[in-house]
Amino acid sequence: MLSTQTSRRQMLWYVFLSLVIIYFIGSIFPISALQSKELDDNPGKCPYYITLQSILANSTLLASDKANIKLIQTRLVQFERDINRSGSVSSVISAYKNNYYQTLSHYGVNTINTVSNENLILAIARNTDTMVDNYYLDTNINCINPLYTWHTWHTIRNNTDKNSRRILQYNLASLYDQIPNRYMRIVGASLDEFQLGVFSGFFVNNQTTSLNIQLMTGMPMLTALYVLPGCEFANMGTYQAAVPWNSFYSKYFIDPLLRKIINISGIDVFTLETSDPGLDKIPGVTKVPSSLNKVFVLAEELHSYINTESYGMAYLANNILYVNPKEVKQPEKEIKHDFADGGVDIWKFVRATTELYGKLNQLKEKHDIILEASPPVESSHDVMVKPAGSVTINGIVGERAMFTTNCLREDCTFVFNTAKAPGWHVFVNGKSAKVERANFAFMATTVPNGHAIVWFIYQSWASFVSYLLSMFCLISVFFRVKAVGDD
Amino acid sequence: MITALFDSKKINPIVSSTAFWLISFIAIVFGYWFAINQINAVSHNELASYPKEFFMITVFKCYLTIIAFYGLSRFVLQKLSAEKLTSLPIALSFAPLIIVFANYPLYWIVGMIGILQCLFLLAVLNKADYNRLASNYLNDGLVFLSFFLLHFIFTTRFSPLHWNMSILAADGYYTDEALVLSPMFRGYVLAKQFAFSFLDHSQWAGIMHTPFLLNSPLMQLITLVFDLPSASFEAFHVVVMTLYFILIVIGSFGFYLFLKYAAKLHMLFAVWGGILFGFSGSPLIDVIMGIDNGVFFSSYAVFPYALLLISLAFEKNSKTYALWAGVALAMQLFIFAPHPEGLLYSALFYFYYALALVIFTSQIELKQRINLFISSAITFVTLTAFDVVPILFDNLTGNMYVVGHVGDIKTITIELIQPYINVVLIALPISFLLQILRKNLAPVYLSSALLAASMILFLVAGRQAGFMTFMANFLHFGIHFTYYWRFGIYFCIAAFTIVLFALDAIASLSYQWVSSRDFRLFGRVV
Repeated sequence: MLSTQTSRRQMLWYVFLSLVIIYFIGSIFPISALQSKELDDNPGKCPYYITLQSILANSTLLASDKANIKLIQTRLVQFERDINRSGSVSSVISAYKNNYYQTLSHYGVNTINTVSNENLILAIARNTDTMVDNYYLDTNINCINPLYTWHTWHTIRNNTDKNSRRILQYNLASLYDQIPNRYMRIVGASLDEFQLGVFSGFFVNNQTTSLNIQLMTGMPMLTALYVLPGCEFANMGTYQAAVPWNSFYSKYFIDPLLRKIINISGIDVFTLETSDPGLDKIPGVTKVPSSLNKVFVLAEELHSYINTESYGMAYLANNILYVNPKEVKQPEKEIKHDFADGGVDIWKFVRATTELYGKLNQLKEKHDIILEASPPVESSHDVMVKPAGSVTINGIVGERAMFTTNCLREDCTFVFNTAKAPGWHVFVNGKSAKVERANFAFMATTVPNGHAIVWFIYQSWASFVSYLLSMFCLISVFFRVKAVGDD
Repeated sequence: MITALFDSKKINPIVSSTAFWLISFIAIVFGYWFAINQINAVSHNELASYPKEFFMITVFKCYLTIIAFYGLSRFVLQKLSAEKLTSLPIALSFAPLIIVFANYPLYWIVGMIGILQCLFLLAVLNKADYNRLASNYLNDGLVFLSFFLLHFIFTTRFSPLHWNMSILAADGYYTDEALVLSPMFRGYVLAKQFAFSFLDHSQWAGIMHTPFLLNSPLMQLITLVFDLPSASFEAFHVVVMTLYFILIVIGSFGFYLFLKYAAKLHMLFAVWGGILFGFSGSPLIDVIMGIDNGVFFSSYAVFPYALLLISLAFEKNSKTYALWAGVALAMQLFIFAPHPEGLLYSALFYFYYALALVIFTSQIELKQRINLFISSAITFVTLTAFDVVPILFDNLTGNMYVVGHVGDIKTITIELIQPYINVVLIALPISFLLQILRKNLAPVYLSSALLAASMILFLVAGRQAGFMTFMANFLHFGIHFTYYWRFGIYFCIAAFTIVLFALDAIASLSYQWVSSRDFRLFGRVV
């Protein structure tokens, strides 16, 4: 038992600590950051929904990942369960049900559950994706997440529309679900207030690109010449240095020089607003027949286009214009200096890029390139009569890329339209070859007549040595403890 | 707990040769399987055309990774078993890795490794060991459990209870989360193709080693092991939220450990500190999740561990602790590589704190203190080399540029951290006085106080204050020191420490009339 005096002191002690706690709670809480905003704006707790269309846009591009097929099959199995749920036999659901099973019957199956053929699963999914998505996004049937609304930059800035947040951006991938192959380079940016690509960022297609100033990083020559060529290099917002911006309008695809640069850099797909007045004037494009489900409300309707004039991700060069590397040295120095120095003398930068644009503008036909090398003895401007041949992209995954070339000439110049940076190694038919620079920024190498296998592998010595250093350090610390039973 | 983990009588870097050869064999076999799959992900059946030297590099990297995991397992298991479990069974527990060739899923294999290790451990433990483990770890284990439950129930943003919610449903125009997470998503997809790569083709033709591109080797490992579908955003959400959840729990727990074992506070105040770390709003957690959307999360989570271990290193004059402190700080890059500033600030303030320990720890010789400081620094620098050196190299050679952004130099406001400044200004003198009364001017306290006091100078000396003014006006270089909230968090950690020191000092002066029994009663009431 405590004495009366101790109890009083104890009480004082409790009061004191309670005050401290109240002070902390009052000044530090609420813990809003730990709470999901979705709970406030989604009082019905409707689950978010990723469209099957969006999943298909990505999954079919990664055939090696069997888990994706399982995922798609699971989604369809779930759909079958939902439409067959007892007590939900409204006419709306019946329509979905009839359509779905009618589609299945075309493939000679009664349920997706029993299908084991992966191609068949994909085919069924492709033919039912719109139906499945419409079902889950049908307000008459399901609880719809209220956050499927894109809102404009100004609304958010002024904080006038708190309830309307943003579209679930993952679904934007469905804008690209009809693109023929995964190695098409997509420029997702369309408006400065609506950036696809990195900002939505969730495309499995690893060639999807965006011009993102937030990344604050780049390769000087590639950025200077191919990221919004000739324009828009200015201080942006609070960014100190001259950096490229990322809005795209039809004018960039109509202007001959800009278009040439876009083509050379291999922009295969781009997205524009349908309200852009210049859309009809863009030459050499075909519309991608993909669209977003109507439930996702965007500020502007968007459409994607395939650039038929694009050089693509990898190709054999057609005509080669040889340029003395010394001629490029000075403008390159100016460009690098500008990037390193934060755009102190913008005119030097403009002069340097203009000089190089002038050279690129001399390229006439698709797949003509500039090579920084001495010309071969037989011809200074190697104009070839017959086509150079073809390239098959076997795969590009992270630091490894493999191609099969079929050169119809004595030898060909193969271009991998990825930035030439130190650390890339090339192997032609198993033998190490020289990586040259094409069009001032990209990688090129010589391949022999006939079929050849080309591997590009990135492994800079700096990254390898530093990796070894880190791992040896980690291991040595882990083993710096006495081990019993050691010899 | 911490002492039980890290104290060792004798350091012996030599491992059992049998165990070493066994684990090496397993690691090489697994590495071979991994390298083949890596090539197959690019193109099937092209092993013959793939350059041999790069194949060997992949096998070697795999080998080193497995050896590192083996080393970690060995360290933990031998400590738990009081060194009864030898290296050989631990190496043997990795044998299931070989059955990848029989197409067993990796999560089965990893599960089997875990089960084997548990079985081996149980086989060597006796009653005395259980008593030892209970006395060493039970209290802290319960505290960890309480932090886990606290976050599990109250943290709606990424608690497993709410994994069906979209991470994109936060405030603000820029989808910062997408911005932060999209590079991670690349990693998620690449992991399924056996590529643990920093190289991102999405950034306009393959930019490598971009400092802003976050990556998470741990997330990639989880993705690969659990064979998550690469096209599933939901699965990706779950992995990311798992990471966030782990980080906030271990962050809270780390701060508790620091307060308990390094600052020697009463357990009650240490627990309260852990709760503050995880549940304080502006600016601590608001910065972590609300403003920067997790981009600094890992830096904050590992920071208390680094402080704890370096404090103990100085207290015990132990080089092992100093080395582990460097490891703890560098772990952020392995768990969830932060924004570069995260690394920068955590390293800066960590070394600032460590330097203060060099100054204030008078019990050991200056040479030894410097030695501890350098050991820790070298470990940190070496461990971060794999991420930092390539970036620096590419920049220094002019092959990559990084645009620094500067902003808000003239618009620094202090409202976010005002409560903490008030707390410190009030608590600092009281605490200092009480520490003197207790004759307990602990180096940890002094270092934290110095850190907090310096941060106040930087932050409240005017709109263009201290260090920032210097950086901006003389060096014309901002690198985000202008974003005060990002480094203010370390001030908060220091502030918490000082306040808790003050409370502990007040309480300790009253220890003579408040029995430990009453404290336990109070604990139950709280």
